[in-house]
Amino acid sequence: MNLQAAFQLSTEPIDTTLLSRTLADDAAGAFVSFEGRVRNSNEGQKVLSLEYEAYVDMAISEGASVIDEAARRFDLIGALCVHRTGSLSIGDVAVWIGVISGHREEAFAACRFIIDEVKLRVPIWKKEHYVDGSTDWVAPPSVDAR
Amino acid sequence: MTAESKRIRVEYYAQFREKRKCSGEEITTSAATAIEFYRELDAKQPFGLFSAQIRIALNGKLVPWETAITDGDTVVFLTPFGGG
Repeated sequence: MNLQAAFQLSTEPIDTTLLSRTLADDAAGAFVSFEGRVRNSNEGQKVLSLEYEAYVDMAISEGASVIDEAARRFDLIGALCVHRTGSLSIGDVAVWIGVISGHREEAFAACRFIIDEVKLRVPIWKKEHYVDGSTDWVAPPSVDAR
Repeated sequence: MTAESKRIRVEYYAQFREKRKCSGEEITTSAATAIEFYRELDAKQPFGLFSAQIRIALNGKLVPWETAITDGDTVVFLTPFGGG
């Protein structure tokens, strides 16, 4: 199998059109993508912007192992995940995931698996800047629960 | 257990970076394990972070706190992740 699999960090805006074009294979009957975007509020606070910071070496190795695991588990033809670092504004793409497979079931499941595992395993931190001038490092409660 | 001194590279990210006001430092220590090393640093200058949520990466891999540290290791303390 000619597997296209990668995890990348990007300090530049994510070009989702370009990324989806890279996932092309004649055997792929399904392409599913997920785009995580910067929301204008979190837990009742109005968000102005945010920053992502990564422990790059570990993020790349953990991200790659998530992608490899997904590719094996769901028999994918291709999988790609790009996560932003640096400063982001409302509406910006924070993370993009695309997978291709023979059939849609595997593609949907793999996409969900990758975003859930990336959140849990990849060392990236988020600092929110609020409209009132305050800031906070935030992590979803589910991270602590598992 | 020996108390030989060793050089450990610590890298700071996110809250740790802000608390220490730097991205990393070289520390000479006689700590035998990751937890001893963390406690030593925290005692010298408290991080002021909720330690029950903190994990540790040794040379880029998550490890248990009881893991032995050796000369030349790189240590990163990890607060809960917020990516995705």
